[in-house]
Amino acid sequence: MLKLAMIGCNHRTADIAVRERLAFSPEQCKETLQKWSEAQTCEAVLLATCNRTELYVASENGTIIDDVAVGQFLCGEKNVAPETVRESLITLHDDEAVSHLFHVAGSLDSMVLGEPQILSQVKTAYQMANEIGTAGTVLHGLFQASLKVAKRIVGETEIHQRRTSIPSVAVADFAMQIFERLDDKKTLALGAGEMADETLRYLTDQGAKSILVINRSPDRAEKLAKQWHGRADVWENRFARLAEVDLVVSTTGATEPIVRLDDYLAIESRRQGRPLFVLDLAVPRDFDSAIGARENVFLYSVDDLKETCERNQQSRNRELPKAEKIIRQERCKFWRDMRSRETGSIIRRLREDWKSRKEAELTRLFHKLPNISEADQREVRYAFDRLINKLLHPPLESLRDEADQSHHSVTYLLQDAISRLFRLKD
Amino acid sequence: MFSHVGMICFTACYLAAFLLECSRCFFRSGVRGAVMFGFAAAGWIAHTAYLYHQIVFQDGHLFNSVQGWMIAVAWALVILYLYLTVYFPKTPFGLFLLPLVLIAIGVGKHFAAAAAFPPDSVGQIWRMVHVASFLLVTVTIFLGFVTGLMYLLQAANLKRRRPKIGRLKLPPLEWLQTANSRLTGFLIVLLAVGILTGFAINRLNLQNQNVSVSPLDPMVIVTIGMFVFLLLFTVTLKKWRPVHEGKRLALVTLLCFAAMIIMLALALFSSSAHWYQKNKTQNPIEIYFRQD
Repeated sequence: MLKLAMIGCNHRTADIAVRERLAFSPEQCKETLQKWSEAQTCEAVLLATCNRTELYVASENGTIIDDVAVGQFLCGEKNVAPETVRESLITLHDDEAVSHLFHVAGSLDSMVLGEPQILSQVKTAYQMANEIGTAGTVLHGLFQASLKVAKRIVGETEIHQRRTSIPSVAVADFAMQIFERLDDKKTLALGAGEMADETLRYLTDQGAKSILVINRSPDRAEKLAKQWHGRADVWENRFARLAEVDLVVSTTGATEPIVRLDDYLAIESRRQGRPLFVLDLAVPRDFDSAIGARENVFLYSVDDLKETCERNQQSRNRELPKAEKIIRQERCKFWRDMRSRETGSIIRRLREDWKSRKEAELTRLFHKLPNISEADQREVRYAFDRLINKLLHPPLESLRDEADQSHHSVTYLLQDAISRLFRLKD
Repeated sequence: MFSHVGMICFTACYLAAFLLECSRCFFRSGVRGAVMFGFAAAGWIAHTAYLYHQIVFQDGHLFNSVQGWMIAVAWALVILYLYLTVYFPKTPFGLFLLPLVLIAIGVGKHFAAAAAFPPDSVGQIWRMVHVASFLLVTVTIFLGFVTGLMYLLQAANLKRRRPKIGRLKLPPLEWLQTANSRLTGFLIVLLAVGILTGFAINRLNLQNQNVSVSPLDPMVIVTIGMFVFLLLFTVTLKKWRPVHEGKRLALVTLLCFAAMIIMLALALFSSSAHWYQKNKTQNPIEIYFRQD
């Protein structure tokens, strides 16, 4: 009988101190799986991210999975005493484990609902297990089903469509709606704080290359510019640079606007009608709001973006029932496939058993009737085949129906009964 | 085999594709794109078969009637729609393009009685180039109308601090501006070709002592006016790069669309020598092409 389990911890069950102790680097994951393949017969996939360390274990032949031993193995690999993390480790079996992996792959179990990285992490974990050879039939089925779940959630719901952090919304939902590409655009960062840093990260992810940093403190401007392969300029040149750039990220701590309408009007003609995207993330605001009314200026403040972020978050939450429905459907399908696989094996064995018996009987019969013609032999053989098919049809149909409809345990009981009644050997 | 393909076949397919495009406003679907494309592609195949049948089997010149003209325009627009749907599957181009396709077919059907050029005329090659260039002008103007409208909607939406119009995501402003700029340039070239070939046909008619089209013909005036306006606009834009370039380009594409509607109205309802209506007693096109 098929057995599945997940042993590990994640951001819901363990605090960061425990997660740090049980964190596996890709190299460590590889070593751990190699050790597993040498010592164990069960299948295994190790999913290790910054928020979770989860070992998925499966056996197809009914081998009992010892949760405690698996937990000890996991802790042993990181030289952690199991009793110190016992409270944080969770064990999920069979359907719970399947459901959990589907939630993880679909990014429903992530710290930020719908974050896209987890899918590639699941893929990487599965690929690694494949390469090392610890993923067998069950985990192949499970992980491929989980990737399908993720694909369906991405395609059929809006959970992954909408971003929820202010810089990501600003860049992906607004800047990319104005500019087709960013690699030929000039970006100006006014201020050199954490928010500027994070926004520049999103902009460079989208292809921004030409980055200019201006800050009251030239040292901090230099530092940030160096980090993003840009250049720094002095504070006094901010208006001159404003005429040249396409995107502005303003995050200074100034108590008064640093760019007033008059300042902008003075440089507007030099911009020659090029669109200007201004992301004013400062509070109080750095740009006079009247600038936003100018043609070809797209000025967004924290409040404008916050509204979109909140709307996106609500929208993601509204999509949860759809995602849960997909998971339910795929869970049922996964178990149905697994049961069909097992049922198929029983049916094959039963047919082979009966076929060998039939052949033995026919050989004996034809031996006793040496004068029987070939045509009669064919008729007798045909009659035997029909009899076997008719005898096997009702039990095999019942088995197939149960595999399609019923719970795993019912199918297993039937399979067990057939194996025992007909004395089938593995 | 193609004789059974009627306008209703492809119109129904385009209508189904359009309704599916409309459903983008209400919900997301993983299979909608493929179904929508399937309907539009099936419609286009039927549309092609219909045109083929019109040209080959019914001994009819494709552009001999307003109906043929408009159906050819719709056919070209559907090719553009299919291309855009493949390359930009998340952008609802169909919401803007397919109504134009349906309107073009509807206009064609409604004015099925109206005819354009008779088949036996002078300067067949010149006429073919003339007709082809104006057919492309029509398609370009339709497409320009779509991108221009999208630009204005997108710009207004972004000014209102909304990244999407409901559930619909339009292309970036920069892309739309580039598209409008290229379409305007393309339009100038096509109009130039159309006008020059028109002059050539007129000259041939004069040589053959046929009646030529007057330079004061309303359609000629509107066409040349549009060409001169577009030329001046583009030169001004290139030289001085005025503020609001994107918005002006978008407005120009809408203006061209309005000019085209006027041209179509003139063709259908006035006594322009370019087009002829069967039910009129005086037949300007016959005068235009008549050979003594």
